[in-house]
Amino acid sequence: MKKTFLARRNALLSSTTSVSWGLVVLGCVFLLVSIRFLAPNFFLHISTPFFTTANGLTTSFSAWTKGFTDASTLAKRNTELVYENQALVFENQTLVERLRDVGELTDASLPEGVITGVVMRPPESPYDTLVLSSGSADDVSVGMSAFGAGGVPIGVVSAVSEDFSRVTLFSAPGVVTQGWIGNERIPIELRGVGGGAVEVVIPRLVTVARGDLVFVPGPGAIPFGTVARVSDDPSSPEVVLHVMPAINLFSLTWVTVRHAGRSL
Amino acid sequence: MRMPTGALTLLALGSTVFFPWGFTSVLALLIALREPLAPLVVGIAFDVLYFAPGAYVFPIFSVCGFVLSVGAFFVRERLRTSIIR
Repeated sequence: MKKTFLARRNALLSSTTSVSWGLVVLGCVFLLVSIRFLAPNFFLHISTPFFTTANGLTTSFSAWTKGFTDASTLAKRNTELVYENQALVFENQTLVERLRDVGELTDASLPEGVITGVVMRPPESPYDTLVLSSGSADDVSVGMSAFGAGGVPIGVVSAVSEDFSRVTLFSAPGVVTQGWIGNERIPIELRGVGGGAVEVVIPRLVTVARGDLVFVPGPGAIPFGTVARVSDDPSSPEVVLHVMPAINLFSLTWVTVRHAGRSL
Repeated sequence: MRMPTGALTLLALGSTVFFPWGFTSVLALLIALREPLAPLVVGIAFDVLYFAPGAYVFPIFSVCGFVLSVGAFFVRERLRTSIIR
């Protein structure tokens, strides 16, 4: 007669006879948790080489995939972008000179700030946060605003250690930012939904079209992005605007941090 | 050749830094079939590395990792139902 053995087994552990690697790795992660809370600056120092390597791998992979695109199309697009860039540089220089002239008359000055490198950014980060390579030692403090290229506001500094700081982007889930839309500067609320995306809910009566500029305070009204898509449900009294930031948050390499009178 | 469970778990932990979070999440779910603690490890690693005040109400990836690990535990318990050795 065949005997039946009911072997008692712990399904949580992958192995009961040798080391359960899940528990070992979990222990290592809890060690990292304790380092993060007890010595946040040291934690970011030991994490930075890994983030830098990840950024390098992402850039190399992106360059490799672009090699499969039609070369003539890429060359044509490159030429167009070079001309566009030259025109924008000249326009920027003209505007800077005009601002300097106005500043001499009104004693106003160009905004200054701390220019800092970005150590980690989305999409590696699931929270729409940035880690910057400047901290309290470089006069960065909680509540300062972060600006990308062209002075586009992107987020607010939410945590600072001695040599590093973390920025919560406006697109982080649950972040609400006051702003305006269109030439009429209609007041709106920008709500982050994650993944670099921002949504605005407005009454149906407000006339808004795709391509309209969206502004945030910084001080004054600073362009943040454009309306990329309008979701219109006929049964709803409101429409949802999907805003695309002017800056690609997934490819930030440096930002400027300064006080702008904003908080999360 | 089957990959050792430890190597898979370390791969999931390393992917939190080197790969986009969507890819890492899918990887953790697949590894959960062999190692039920993998989602919890990945979730806590995400929050340790990337969570910042104001980014979300609470460390959601740790909570999701815990829930998925508990689910993987029950699935793994039900899958191995052979009583004859």
